[in-house]
Amino acid sequence: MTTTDTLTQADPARSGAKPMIELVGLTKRFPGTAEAAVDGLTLTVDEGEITVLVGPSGCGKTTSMELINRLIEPTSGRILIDGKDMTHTNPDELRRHIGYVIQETGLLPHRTIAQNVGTVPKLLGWDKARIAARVDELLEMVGMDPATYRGRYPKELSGGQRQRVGVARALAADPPVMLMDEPFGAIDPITRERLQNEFLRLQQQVRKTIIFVTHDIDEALKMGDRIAVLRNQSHIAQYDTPENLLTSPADDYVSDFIGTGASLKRLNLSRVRDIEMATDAPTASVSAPVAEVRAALLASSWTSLLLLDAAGRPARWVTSRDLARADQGAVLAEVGLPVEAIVEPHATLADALDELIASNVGCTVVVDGSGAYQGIVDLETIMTVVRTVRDEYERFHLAQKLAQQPADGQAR
Amino acid sequence: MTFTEYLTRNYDNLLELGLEHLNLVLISMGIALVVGLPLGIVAHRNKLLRNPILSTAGFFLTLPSLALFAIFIPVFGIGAPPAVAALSLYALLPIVSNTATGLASVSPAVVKASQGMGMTGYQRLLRVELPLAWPVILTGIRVSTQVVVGIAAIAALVGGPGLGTEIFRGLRSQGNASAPNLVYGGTLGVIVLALLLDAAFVLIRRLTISRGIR
Amino acid sequence: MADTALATRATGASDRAVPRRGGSRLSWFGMPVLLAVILGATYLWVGSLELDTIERRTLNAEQLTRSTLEHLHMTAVSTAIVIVLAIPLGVLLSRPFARPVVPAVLGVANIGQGVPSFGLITIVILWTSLGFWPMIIGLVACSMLPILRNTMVGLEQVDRTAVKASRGMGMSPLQVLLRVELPLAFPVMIAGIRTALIINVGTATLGTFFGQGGLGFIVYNGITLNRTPVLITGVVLVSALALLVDYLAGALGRLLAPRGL
Repeated sequence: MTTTDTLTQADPARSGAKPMIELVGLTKRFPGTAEAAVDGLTLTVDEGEITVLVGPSGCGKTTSMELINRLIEPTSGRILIDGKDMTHTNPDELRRHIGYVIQETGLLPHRTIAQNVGTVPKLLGWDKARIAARVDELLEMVGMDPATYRGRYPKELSGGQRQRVGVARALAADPPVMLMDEPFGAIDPITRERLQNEFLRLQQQVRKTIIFVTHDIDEALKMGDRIAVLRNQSHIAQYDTPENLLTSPADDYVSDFIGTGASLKRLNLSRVRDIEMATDAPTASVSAPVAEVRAALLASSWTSLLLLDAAGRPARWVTSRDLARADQGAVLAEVGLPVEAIVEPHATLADALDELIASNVGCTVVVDGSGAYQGIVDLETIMTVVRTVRDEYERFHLAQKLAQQPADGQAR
Repeated sequence: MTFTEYLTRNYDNLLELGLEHLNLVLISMGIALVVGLPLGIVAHRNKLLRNPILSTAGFFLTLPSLALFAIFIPVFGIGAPPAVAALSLYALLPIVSNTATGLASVSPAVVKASQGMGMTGYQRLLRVELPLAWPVILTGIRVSTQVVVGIAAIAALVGGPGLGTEIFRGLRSQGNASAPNLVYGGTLGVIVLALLLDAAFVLIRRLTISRGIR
Repeated sequence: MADTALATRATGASDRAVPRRGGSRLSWFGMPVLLAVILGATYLWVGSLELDTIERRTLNAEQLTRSTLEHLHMTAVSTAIVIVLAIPLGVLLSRPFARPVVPAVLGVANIGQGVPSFGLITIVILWTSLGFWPMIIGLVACSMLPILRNTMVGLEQVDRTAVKASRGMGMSPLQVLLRVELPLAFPVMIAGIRTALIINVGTATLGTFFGQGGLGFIVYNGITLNRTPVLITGVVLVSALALLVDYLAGALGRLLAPRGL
């Protein structure tokens, strides 16, 4: 059964969003180097969105991020936050209003968790009671019991817990903007997955404007409302939604970077509830008479029937051969195969496919929040979705090309 | 006269000399700290000055102690001042080098995070870097103190105060029956003082180092 | 003095703990040039003075040479003895069978740091008599700790996997010690020897108080006779000697260090 937490990503196409971070021609040239590390980066991030900067190591993504909170002073270009030019303000003051999370967490080892989380509020001169209340609220928010953890020291926490504290610390003064530099990069894969999901849920609550740096395209696709794929010197190869990135990469660089699994990755972006699942599978109650069950199976085009328990939850798959054994005295609830592949509607198609392959029946049962049967996803369903999506995008692309040609012609 | 008799009779005198000795050590260490900590910070922050600062501090430690004491006599005359000057210079290297090493050992991630949260350079130094480097710095101060306690005994040779005078007195009255007692008394006094100061450092460590980095 | 050793061991990362290899031209020639300049300047300065008879009694070529040779003699003999004694002892204490006594030895070593060299030599003299060898015993006692300790520490920090691999290739424990452990521990050991050498040069300055002369004689004459030129000459000579010896030991360490370390 899948327990993977998957959340709706904000609709990147929504219109009327207010730009929160605007980078205009941001350039950094380190002394003594011929090439600029970041060359004319221009990027707009809308309020409440997660924008991921992704690219191979050395492409300048971390430098780009550090230009935003001016840990590195830009050589030229402008940084606007919420419409205000921040390029020449006091950098310390600026940083106190930008949350910052880094891979190594950078927690202060000589200070307790509470003191760590309260660092920025203290710099901003909040009073003690207010800081204490805020610290508890934040620890609660990142899933750490304040009473247990507030007095501990960083070395007494696991890597995952430390990164949670890092996130809480960045949120402490409620900054509108957050910068996250590979925040989950140094964490084992299982914990990373959990932290990513927790963070996405948290983001639904807090709606920060976030710039997130990673080198991992899968993490980018999962976390990003928009993704900027960077090549050398932070040149943007493509700035797009995850869906568009997967279906229509701008060039070979982008498709190479996404890698071979693009079609599979696309399954991560569609959810079971968004597709049409099969609802014509024959079902019957486990307590029903065998004859009635057989009648239901024969009436359908299916070779198996799904037995449901009293609460409507899937119980077992039975075939006509299993029913024959039930005729000979076997209990209906014990014949056939147990239902192993079960997902909830918010699961991604990748989850559903994963369950399906692992199961012994070749289809995944969809249940609602209480576990009651809703429908079936099989390979056929998934293939249909993939095909439709591909067709749609091809048509879209073709239309775009056609639309551009006359425009070019006119320009000449 | 046995050593025990000597101790009971000269208890006051030894205590007074011990306090003089301690005073000499504390004043020299105070000066060395005031000079050494900033120098260590500069050595850490400025790569160009790092080597000159460390070599200079190391230079003083290489000089024979009597020479270093003597060189200040034309300036300060005989007595405590040349001793304080020489001892302060002796104490410098461990403090400077451990301050620089301690600051360099602070995790760059922590420094970057502090900067990213909007701490000014000064706040960063005071609230993050120095507290984190403190265990190493404190070790340097402790080593310096031990060096100074031992060498301060030589101050007596340039007319300075402290337990060295008792040893020197014993040496001069060599052949005299009381001579060994004087030498034992002075030497033992220095050792006891060194042990007491070391114990004090254990306490200071406990009190000033955060549990998070112990 | 005896405690100089500590300073270099302050953090284990301190500058002189391990001699740097290579280095710039400045680090090779800087010190000799500096010493030549200082000695030359002192010579010119003293030469330009009208020396009175008291000063002339100390500041003459014969006396200066004799003091310098006495000083070198004390330093060389005590350092040779301390190397011969402390290194085998350190090796012995680093063998597995000595493990139980190591904490006790290090504990004594720590207390030893607080022992004033001046007092220690005086006690040795009181127990024996005034003379060259009692002085040497005092010097050896003062400089024993850094070599002993650096030998132990140096051997201890040798990469265990290198030792294991050597044993695995069939070397005997003695072969492993001679061909693997000692070469790998060399930089730390040489640092200990260098420290001991500095201590001995410095402490030999006290030789004059125990009738053994040395450059301390010039310095102390300068103090007691209240003659600054004498004092300065003594200070410059003994300091130059200490710095030169330190420089030579450092250079030798760099030349002898096994390549690849």
